[in-house]
Amino acid sequence: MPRSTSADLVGSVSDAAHQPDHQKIVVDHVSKVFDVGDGSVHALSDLSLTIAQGEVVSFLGPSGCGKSTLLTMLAGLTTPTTGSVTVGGSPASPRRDVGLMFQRSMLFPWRNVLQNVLLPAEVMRLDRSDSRERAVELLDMVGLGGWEKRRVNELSGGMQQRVALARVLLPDPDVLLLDEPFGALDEMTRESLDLEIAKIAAATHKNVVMVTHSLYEAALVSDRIFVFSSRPGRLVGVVEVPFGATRSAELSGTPEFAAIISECRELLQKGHAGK
Amino acid sequence: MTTQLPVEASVDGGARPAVAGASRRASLPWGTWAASLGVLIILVGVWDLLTRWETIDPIIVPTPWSVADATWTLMGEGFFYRHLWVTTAEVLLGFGIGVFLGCGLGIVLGLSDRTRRVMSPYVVAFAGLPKVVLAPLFITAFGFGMSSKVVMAVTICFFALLVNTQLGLTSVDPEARRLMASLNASRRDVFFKLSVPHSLPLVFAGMKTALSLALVGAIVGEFVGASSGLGYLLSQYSYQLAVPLVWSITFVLALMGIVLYVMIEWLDRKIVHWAQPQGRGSE
Repeated sequence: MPRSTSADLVGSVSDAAHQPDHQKIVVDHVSKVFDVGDGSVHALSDLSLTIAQGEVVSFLGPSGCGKSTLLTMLAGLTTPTTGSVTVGGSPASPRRDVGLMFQRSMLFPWRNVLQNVLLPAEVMRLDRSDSRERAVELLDMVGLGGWEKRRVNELSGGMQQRVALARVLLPDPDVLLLDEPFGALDEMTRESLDLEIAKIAAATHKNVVMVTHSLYEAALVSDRIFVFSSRPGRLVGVVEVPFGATRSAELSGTPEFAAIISECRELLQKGHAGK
Repeated sequence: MTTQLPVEASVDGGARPAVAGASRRASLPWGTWAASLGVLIILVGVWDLLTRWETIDPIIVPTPWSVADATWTLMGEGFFYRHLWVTTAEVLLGFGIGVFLGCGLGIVLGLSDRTRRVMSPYVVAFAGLPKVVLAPLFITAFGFGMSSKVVMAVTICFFALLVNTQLGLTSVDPEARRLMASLNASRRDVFFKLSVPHSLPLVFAGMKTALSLALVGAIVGEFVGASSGLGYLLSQYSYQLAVPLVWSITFVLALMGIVLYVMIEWLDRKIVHWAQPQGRGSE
């Protein structure tokens, strides 16, 4: 099989390249209050941020800082109590150009690998044979060419996440929302998948928003890191990561990388102390 | 630029499909079968010795050979097959209607939290009721024919399916639901592509329980009041103190239970292929 190029797989690059400052995701004065039993929990408090077209960002913070809640809002699965969330100029909603991926692969064991990748195509009523072709190419891209007919429970955790990655890429979303996508994997697998995400984002100018509590992962893939404090979730600071689009594991040995990690750590501590 | 991504074989355990799977424990069953047969021979041997030495009164437990003889005679009689057919029909009808009703009500309760909460006291009350007490009522209401036994079988077996269907539908992983929601899936797609396949293993487990319960229901119904069926025949022989024949029919009923169970088990393996023990793949 010929090697697939990014242009084949992900269609044309949008006009983002011409408007680098175009705001793709806007979170405007968002608060979220959950009612629980005998009271309420402030998951997020008056949060505002913007993410530019094609940017790769991380939401970094301790458990319970509302970063996953915010991601769920970007996916249009939760509505803010106050404020607004817009993606690509319209209010966030579940739709084809936004893809969500979880820490657990959430593959369906009654479907084989290919059928799992094709799930979005079935649900979204996409063209059957086009989708099939694309699914095979995507599986090849994530290194699982030839595994189409296998049962998902024959796959390792890392392979299952690769299938989930192919599945989320199938409808060719502009925005990838990743909720601790590789948090359950071992260090080595995690790093290689992080680098794949960075590579895909760079090649296809997709927006990636990754929720994580790993400083290393955040610094490795992101253009910017949003650091959160917990309960109520607030933005403590934003760290710029000036490594450009091409990422590799060797970056982690540089002093600049170490500086970014320690900057994030200071912000996390500041957020913790400010409670 | 290409986006073909490397696979680190050492980390992920190989980049190409390995020839794993289907025949992993092909050598095991023969030994198991032989051992099972051995247990049967030992049991019959012990039975023979106990009756031969009259440790057990042969009026109560006849020798294996007299039971075999009685079974042989019974198999030669035309009326035996009529009774066998009646009971089989009652069980299958009762089971079929029970599956239909149990799954139907299970879906209603499984899909609506409100209905489930409203109905839960009645479900609990019915679960606690020893359903065999209803047999005399059903005989009064539906007569001595097959219908009262079918109703008894349905009543006693549909509950297993109701509970398991409901449990299946309500135990879907919330994150899987979020995945479907993020794809903007319709209620229909969520039901057929997620909830139903997720519930199938539990539904089949319920069917296995329901099948033996349907057999109990039909036999109890026949005991209480009937003019045909193996349960009726068994109680007649019992009154006549034809003990070897009572044992014959008991074995026939056990065999019937086994055959029906094996059929469901086979269906289960065909349909719910993903939930089977490793090494029994569908390939």
